[in-house]
Amino acid sequence: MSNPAKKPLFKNPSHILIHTLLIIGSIFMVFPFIWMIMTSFKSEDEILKTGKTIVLLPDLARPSFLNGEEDRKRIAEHERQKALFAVQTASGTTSKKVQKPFELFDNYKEAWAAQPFYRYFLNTFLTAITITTFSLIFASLAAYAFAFFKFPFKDQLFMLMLGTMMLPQQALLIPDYIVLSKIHWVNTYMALIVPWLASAYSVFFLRQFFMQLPKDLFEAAMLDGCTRLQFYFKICLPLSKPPMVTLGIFSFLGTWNSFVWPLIVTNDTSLRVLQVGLSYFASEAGTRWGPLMAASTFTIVPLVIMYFLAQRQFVESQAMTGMKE
Amino acid sequence: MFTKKKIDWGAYFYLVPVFGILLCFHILPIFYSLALSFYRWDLIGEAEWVGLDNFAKLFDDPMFYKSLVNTFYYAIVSVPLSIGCSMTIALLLNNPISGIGIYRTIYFLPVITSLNAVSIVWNFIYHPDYGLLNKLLALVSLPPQLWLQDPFWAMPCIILMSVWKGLGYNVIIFLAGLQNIPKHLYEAARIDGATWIQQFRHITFPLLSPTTFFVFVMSTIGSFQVFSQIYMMTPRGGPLKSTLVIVYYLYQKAFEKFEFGYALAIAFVLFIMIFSMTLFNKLYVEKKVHYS
Amino acid sequence: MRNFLIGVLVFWLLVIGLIQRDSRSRETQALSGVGGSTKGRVEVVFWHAMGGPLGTVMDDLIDRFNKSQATYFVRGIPMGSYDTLAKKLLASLVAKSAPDISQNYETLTKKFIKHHKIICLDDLLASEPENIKADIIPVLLANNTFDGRLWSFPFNKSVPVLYYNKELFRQAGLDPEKPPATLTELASYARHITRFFPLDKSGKPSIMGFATGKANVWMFQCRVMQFGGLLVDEKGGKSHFNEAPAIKALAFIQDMLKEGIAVEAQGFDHQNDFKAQRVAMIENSIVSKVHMESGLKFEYGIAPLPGEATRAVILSGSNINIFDNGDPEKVKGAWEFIKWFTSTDIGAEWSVRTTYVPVRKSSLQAKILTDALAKDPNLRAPYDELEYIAFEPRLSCWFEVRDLMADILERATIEMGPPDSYMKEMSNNIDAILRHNAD
Repeated sequence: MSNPAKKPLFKNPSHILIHTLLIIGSIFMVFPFIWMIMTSFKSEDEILKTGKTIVLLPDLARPSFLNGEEDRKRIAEHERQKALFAVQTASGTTSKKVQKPFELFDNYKEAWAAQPFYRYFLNTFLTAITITTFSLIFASLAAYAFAFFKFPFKDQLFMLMLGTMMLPQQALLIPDYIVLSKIHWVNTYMALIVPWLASAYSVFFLRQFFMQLPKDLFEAAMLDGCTRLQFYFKICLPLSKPPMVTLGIFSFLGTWNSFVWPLIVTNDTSLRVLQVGLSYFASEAGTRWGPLMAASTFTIVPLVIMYFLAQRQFVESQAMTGMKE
Repeated sequence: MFTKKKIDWGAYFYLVPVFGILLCFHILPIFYSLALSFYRWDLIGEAEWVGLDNFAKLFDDPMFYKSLVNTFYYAIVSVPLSIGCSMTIALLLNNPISGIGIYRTIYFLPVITSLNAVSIVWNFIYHPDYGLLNKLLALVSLPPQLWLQDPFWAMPCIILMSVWKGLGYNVIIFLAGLQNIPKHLYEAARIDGATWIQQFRHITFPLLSPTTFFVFVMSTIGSFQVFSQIYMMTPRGGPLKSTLVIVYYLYQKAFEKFEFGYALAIAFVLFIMIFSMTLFNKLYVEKKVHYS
Repeated sequence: MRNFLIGVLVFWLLVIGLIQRDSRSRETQALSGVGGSTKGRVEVVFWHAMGGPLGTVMDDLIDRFNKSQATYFVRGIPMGSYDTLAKKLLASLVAKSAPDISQNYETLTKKFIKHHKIICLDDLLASEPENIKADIIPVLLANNTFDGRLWSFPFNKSVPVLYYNKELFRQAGLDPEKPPATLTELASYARHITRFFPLDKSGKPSIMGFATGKANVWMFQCRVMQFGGLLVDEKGGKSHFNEAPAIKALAFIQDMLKEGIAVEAQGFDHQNDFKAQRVAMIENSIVSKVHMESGLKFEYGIAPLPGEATRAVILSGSNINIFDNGDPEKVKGAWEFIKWFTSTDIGAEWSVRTTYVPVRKSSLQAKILTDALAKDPNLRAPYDELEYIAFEPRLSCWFEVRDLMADILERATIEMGPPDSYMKEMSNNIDAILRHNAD
């Protein structure tokens, strides 16, 4: 094998190997996601037909606002015909003989209209941003204490904190609900947000990171007359950009995708979050695949954007590694 | 180098926000749950004290043991697999190759996608009649399998899908850890003529160990509490209950059979198991971890 | 970094502002239907699990009730699924914040009765001028009567039916207007259709005759009764699965599967296969018509389930409870709503739009229903089945029994062992559960 020198040249032989491996892995990683997007553009017929053949691509030549004037005229004419000859059956649907041709973005329109996703997005943004910000602040303070200070019961408190992650959420649902109802927080934003402002996971993560910082740095600063808070703000935090960004992503993502908790503690539509809204596409008599995939896709978009921007922080901070001793 | 053995009483103030919230919303309900495990309660009527009855029944319950076996199977396979794959991918992604941002986003996509959508997609992949996996097998002349409906394959299928979904998380964590390793160490090693494998064994792996420890502990804790995938992909605990894990059994007992006290006894036992394992990790495995 | 944080702060404030604005507009929207204000009205909270097209009808009817009078305001809150509804109901009861009305299964109703959580409807009915009880379809009345008293009210009850693909029948030479009337006929039709169509490339039948759901306890019970058997005694703690009819019922499906003329599908696959015209006949709830029909692009028929020794179908769906939250005004409001919802004309409309069975006998004569049946004969099947509907045993441990039955049925079709051994096991285990859970 060639010498894996890490020179910043693209044509380095080891880079080709790396690219190959990554691409193979990528296909495996991304295929289900691509299938999801493809399905969101398919009509129900095509989705069901995926039995006999792998219908990967939706019919992109279908009428849609992207396909222009001709298509729009065709659809308008069709609607007119339908109105003239529509047969109202007892349950209010029109006869299958004059069913509207499926348009490319129909699933998206149906999904958006089926539920107030605008409000769901607002709720989800609110909870995600609030929880991420505050849990990071609180967790870094606690991790700082665990990493640098000596105080009685340190280890026991740490284990107690870890212990809170060891009971499954399913078992805690009812007791949690009881606690919330006693303080009248059921069906409120408080119930969605406050319990998650403390994150044992984040504390553990940051504590590991802080413990890798050289102890002498801390000692030296203390000797120089630095207060503990100053050290935290001026030295510790700036050095912790990678883990903070990482935790920020996790926290935001976790809240965005959380399902069981919001489901149980909220009833009103006005408090509903995205995941709970998505679950309403599956009912007792079958799942509406098309709209569900469409809704799942547009639910992800903010996350992908956020992640892509955030991981650039990684790249920038790569230049920062190698601490001066 | 000396350290003053001074006690920092101020440390407690730093802990107040986190522990305040944990106390109200996590620790209190946990104690409540543990207390309830000594009662028999159907959530509707009154709870009646039965002492250790629930635990006695638990030790005689064959379905509980099945769920234990299933959970251990899941944990023992998925944790090393996940750590191995994500560490490898993180090492690959830690290079300044072109398009690194795109690769990183791609590997993180499964994590971002909601479990709802992901379950449907994987159900399709695993479908015995028209799933992608069987079609691929047909291309290489292998017989089709029942996958999620086959008592033998159901759990491996779930494991594969879980590892796939969780990879991105651990990759990021490992990436963060890798970036902490000072570059000059690698340069020094290169000058000394060390090969890539030697660099890994003597520099990367040891200095990555705090991160690896974290991932290991968290993955273990998480794998013992696996639930959502089972609920979405193999409801009722899979063919011949081959994917009935502890938390799923707990869920059934609590919400389908109205034996809430019994369910909490299961939770209690699970808690003890996880706590002991984590304690073991902290006391013995952490000794091998290399902190600066 | 600083700019990023400031950006986040601004965005956060923006989101809060937008939420406030959205909330205000929602309130005005919700109240516009009832003359601008719910002040002075008694609010009745109704938790239900009607989603999708059913939810649309439900919302419409709730809205009309609210507009039709000025004393009460029913707030319908959809819970997504029965599963979620049950979980939240239990949680809310523990937290003493239960809704006023909720949909429910008989199992939960029994528990509620035992612990005095719900209102007995006999008193409410007694103060009504018209004799409502006499007008309720007898089996629905019996389904909600516990120890001689009416504790819940029938609400959205459904029955299973047979869906069949008329075009495939025609192609295979079968008369599309004569669906199978007995189980034997069903098997022979399935055999004929499966063998008629050519095999596909991998040697498997391209069209399957019949499909049903995997380990479907509901349909199994139907078949046991169709072979002339009984299920489980409500009083006396004895199950009848070890008897000949149950064994025949299991053997029936096992044999069809072994012969390759039927498939058992996971989840909703059989519905999807029917829509994609890969299967000619399926047994499914009548309510799935509402969900399927937009996707059914061929001529299809809906027939009553075939019988054998007798005809029998098992009731599904839920009833409705009024919770005792200590407020008599809300109880009155809840009752007024239920009465209105199940009244002759509204009940008929609900039945026509959702295919649920109407509660009142007089609804069967209502114009909207008779018109609908005249226009679309496919709607007849559930009404034809009305005379021989039965319901599952109503026991507190019924969920557990059902889970056990599903496990054994699943094994039976995976392992394909002799049916009597499975039935013996099922019977013994169920008897054990019954012994432990004296109702």
